[in-house]
Amino acid sequence: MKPVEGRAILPTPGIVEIETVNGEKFTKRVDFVKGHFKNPNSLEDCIEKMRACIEYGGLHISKNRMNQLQDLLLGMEKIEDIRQLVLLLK
Amino acid sequence: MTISEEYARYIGGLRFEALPEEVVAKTKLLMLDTIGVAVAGTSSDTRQVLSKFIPSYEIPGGCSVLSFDRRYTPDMAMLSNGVMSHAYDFDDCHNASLTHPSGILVACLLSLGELSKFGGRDAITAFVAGYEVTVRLGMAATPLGQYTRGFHPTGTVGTLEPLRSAVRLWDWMLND
Repeated sequence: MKPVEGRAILPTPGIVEIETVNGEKFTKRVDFVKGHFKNPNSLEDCIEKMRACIEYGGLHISKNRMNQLQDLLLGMEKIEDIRQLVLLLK
Repeated sequence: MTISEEYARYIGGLRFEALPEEVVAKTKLLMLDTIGVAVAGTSSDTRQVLSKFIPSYEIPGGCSVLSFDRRYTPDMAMLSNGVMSHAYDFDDCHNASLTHPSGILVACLLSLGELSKFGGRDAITAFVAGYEVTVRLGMAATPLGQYTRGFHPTGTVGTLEPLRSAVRLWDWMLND
């Protein structure tokens, strides 16, 4: 592979093939996978991913604290001290 | 002007007020995403590896590491949080430079935030400065050539990244 400036080097398109127990085959091809700059994640996608990741992690962060974390990060320009973020991740 | 001087001027001169609205919005989204994947990384095997070496870097008044109770030297805290943000490879990637800039930057901001006081606007501006210069250096440093020689560009050009943000933040603090 030869890198071309501004073009994706990592593999795209994404192709998924599924075969059911009945032998039926389904194929889906996505030229630019979700998250690619030509098919960017929406804000909602990112929030959903963040919440799922935090639930998966080992920090046992409550729903309430997760909401605070989300509000803080999306309103980052308003916070006076970045330490607030560190404290929410304890 | 040398490339270093040009970059230094850019980093030192960048102001939050000059950032376009969409850049600020995207930066916040990258921070949010990176915090998520870093917390997910606390459940990874990588975390187990960290738990073996991080205790020897414990110091009073040091910095926190996600999912660990004590305080550690700032460099090792940044390294550990950065490693966890990339543990599942779900963090952002800048394809043309083959770098993962956000993990490094968020780790840097978390640790610096415990050592000194700065606000969200400074964090966003430092993040943008670090990101911009890293991907430019990354693109110039033949990313695929680095890979084929066994290097990970995030670990080569990326090592300079927290330095850039740190310099940016220290500079404000010294001048305030």
